[in-house]
Amino acid sequence: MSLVSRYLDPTLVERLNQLQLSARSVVEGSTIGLHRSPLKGASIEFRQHRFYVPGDDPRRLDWRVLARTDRPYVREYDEETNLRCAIVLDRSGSMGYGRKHGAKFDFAARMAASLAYLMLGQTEAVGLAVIGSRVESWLPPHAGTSQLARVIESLERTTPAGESDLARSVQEVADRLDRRSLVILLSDFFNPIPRIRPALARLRHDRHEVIVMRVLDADETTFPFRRWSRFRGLEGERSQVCEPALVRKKYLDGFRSHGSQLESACRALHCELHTFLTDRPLAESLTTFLRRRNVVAQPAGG
Amino acid sequence: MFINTIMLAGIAGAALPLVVHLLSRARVRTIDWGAMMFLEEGPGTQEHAARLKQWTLLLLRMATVALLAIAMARPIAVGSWAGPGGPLTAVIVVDVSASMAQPTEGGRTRADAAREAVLRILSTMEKGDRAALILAGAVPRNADVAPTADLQAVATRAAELKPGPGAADIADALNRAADVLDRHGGANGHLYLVCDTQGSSWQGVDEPFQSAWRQRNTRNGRALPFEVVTVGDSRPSGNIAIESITLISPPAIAGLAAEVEVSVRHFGASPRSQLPLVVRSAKEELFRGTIDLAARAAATVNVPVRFDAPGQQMLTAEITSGTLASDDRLQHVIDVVAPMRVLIISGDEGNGAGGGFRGESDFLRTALAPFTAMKRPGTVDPARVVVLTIDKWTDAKISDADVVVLANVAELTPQQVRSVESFVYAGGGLFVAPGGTTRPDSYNRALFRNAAGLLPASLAGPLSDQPTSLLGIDLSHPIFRFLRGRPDPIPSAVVARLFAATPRTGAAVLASYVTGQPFLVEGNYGRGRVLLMTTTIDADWNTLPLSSFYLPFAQSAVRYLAAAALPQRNLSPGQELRARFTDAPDDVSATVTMPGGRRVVLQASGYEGNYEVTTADTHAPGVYTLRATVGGQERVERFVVRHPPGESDLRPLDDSQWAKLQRSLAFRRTNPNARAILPPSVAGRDGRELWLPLLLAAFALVAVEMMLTRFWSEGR
Repeated sequence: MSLVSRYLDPTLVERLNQLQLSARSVVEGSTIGLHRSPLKGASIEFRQHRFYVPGDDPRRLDWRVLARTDRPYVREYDEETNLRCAIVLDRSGSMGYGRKHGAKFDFAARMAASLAYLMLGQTEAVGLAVIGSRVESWLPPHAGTSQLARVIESLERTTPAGESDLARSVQEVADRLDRRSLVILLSDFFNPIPRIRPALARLRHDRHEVIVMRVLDADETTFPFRRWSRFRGLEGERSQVCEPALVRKKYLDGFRSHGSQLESACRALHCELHTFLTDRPLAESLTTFLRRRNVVAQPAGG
Repeated sequence: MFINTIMLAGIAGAALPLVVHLLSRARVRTIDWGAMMFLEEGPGTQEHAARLKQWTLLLLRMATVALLAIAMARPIAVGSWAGPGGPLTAVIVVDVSASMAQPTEGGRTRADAAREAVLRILSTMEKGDRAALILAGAVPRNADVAPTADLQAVATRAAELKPGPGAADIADALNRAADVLDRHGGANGHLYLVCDTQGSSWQGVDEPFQSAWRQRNTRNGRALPFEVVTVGDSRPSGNIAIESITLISPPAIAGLAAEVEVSVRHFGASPRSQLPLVVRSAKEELFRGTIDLAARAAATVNVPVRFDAPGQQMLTAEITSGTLASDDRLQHVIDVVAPMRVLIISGDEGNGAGGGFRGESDFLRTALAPFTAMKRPGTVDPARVVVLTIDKWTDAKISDADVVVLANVAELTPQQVRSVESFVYAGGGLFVAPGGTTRPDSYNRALFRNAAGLLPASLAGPLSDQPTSLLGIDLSHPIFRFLRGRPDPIPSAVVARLFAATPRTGAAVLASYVTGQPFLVEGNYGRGRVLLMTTTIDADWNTLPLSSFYLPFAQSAVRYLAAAALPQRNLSPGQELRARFTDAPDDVSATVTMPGGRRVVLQASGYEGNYEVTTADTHAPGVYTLRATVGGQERVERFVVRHPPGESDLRPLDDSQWAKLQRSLAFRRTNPNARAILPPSVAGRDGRELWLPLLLAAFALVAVEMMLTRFWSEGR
């Protein structure tokens, strides 16, 4: 099995070819693409006339208006640019959990590869940040088919391990993004929300569009264990021996509370939040996500 | 107090949840878990709470198991704290044996008094009480039923009780009653026994039974409430019974006179005289007369009989005694056979060529078939004799005979040994009379085979030190029955030469010489019989053939040997009925019609040439008729089961015997005529079973445990 096919299932690729991922808000890009750029200049779509001020390029003067009104006006156009997207993938130890349907990290990695493939196909620029307790590797956004190979190579080199510090890692990613981008966060977000929230706020402050993709295993949502078990932390936490029946309530309470806090934070910061369960097929989850998102995004983009 | 004490061992099962808990902890599995932030330990109080929850659940589970074990042990609360007494379960054993038909004063029978006693017991019971009837002496034996609260139904059944033909086994009935009380008795079980005073019914209540009964029915020092209600007279009552019918010197041979001995026994203390006795066959009355009986004695009547054709003949003896009717009549089946086929294999027949009783077989042939020897036509001999010299041995002739005589045969080849062994094993009779040509070492090797062969004794000799004669003769044996009544039963014949014989274990010496050496030794082999005479059958070594002893001895011995092959048709109650067939019956089955008309199909088993059907369901006295179709021909065989002999003896237990039984079995004896039957309400209704409340408590604990587990796990 080639590296590409390990991360990109042919069935999924076929489905992705019929879909697209677009930013809901205006982003900045460097090349011609699908997305409108806040930078105005020579382009195809006319935006408005503006009175000439010294320093404007005289070539942008609208001579017809000048001849008709004897006033200097310059023409402004919407610049069509490509989407700059930074995929942030959590590789902390907790992402390595997966009892029946594989590790969450594998699911998230294939999702990252799929999104990269999708956007690179749209001539967008895609970058990849692998984070743990900090940014472990950083692939700056670039367009072109060769970027997909770099993304996949970076994923291949990565295994889930170590502690997680989402707040610090995301801050570091934000530092590296010099232009407004679409930031996709792939993680289980098993960090205290009060710590994650400032990081998300930082991204939003930098006017990035943020999609929070929460990847979970079904066990984590139901805590289905019955027998006495020793739970050994994947990020070095102290082991705990307990009777699942007796801790289930406390666990589920904490889990639900954490989910609610994350939801509130995303809502407040205008971040999209999507939850994916690894027991559902990736292709189905991803296409559902993209279709739903496109339906919601079209009115805004139009 | 517990009914099933052994179930208390189940309390140990309470440790099971604890063991499971500890094992679960010991064999805890490890899960690498990501969402540890939600499993973080809380404050110490929460951990303590979790432990408290665990131990609470554990204790609930242990208590549930312990309660279930205690409930299964069926505890009984006794005392005022237990509240009002629970319902009573009475098991009433009723004697319905033949003796219950005996009349008492006032023209009523013992069975009438027993019915009344049962109804009086039932009338003392209250609503909610349960009762069961167990019949002692019922034929066929009734199945034990569980106690029912429908006392009216029990009363109806009791009112219909009638004495049957069987004998009561009180020990068996008490055990059955105890079984019922064990299963259904509950806290207030009560046992009643309604019976007559007949001592023979209590024969099984011996020391081992009494010991086992005390052990079984005493719980925590409390004996099972047990009351014996005796009906009928306690005074000795006489009874007269036809004790037996015996054919003297079987088998009966068609055309020859025979004799049947009818024995009548008087169990009473005063003599009876002029009692009419009738003996009849199917066709004619054989005897009609009167008989006088001394107190506690038996008298016999010999009745001459003669049957013209082979087959089964039914004889009936009947006496008019005015006592118990069931044993005043007895039937008996006699197998009448054609003259016996006797094959004499002679080892020294050569000298007989000149005539004058010089051959080995001459005396025996004449003794067994005297009329044929005298050439008197129109007469019947008891046997048809064929003489064969050893060199003309054929297996076919062996299998055609009823009795084979080895007369002065030197030795047998292995093939001949096998042949004669097969013949005897299948029921044939063998008479061995060695002589001058006999090689005892060969006999010992081939026929005795270290006591594993058919010869009942090993041989040595011959001895010829000094002449001897017979001395010790077992006159009780059927062979020597003809000597009874003779003024001098011991023959005066001289035996000059003989073989020393050492009988094997199990063989019987029927007659001996003055020297102590055995003269006649009997042994069994398979279904057949073997007689070994230690001197010659002719006059070479002795003068027996010249005495009056020889002819009846020879005929009696041959009859005895031939009778082994006859089926046993006159049975005691419960004795196995067995019918044999040479060929397999059609449908491999036979039908037996029992007394009373009940029919039972019996499956035949066996192998080629030897099939049989058997049944031990012979408890009802009377005639059993077996029908089978063999090769398209219906074959009818009849059997008779006599009345139980012990039931004829109506002698009651005396006061000392009753007192001993009362002490041992801890019962209260009541005569319904003398004093009232103790009402069950007085006789221990103070116990209450606790198994139901305990079971409910266990269920409640299970429910609480499930609720708590659900509550704590779902975290409401």
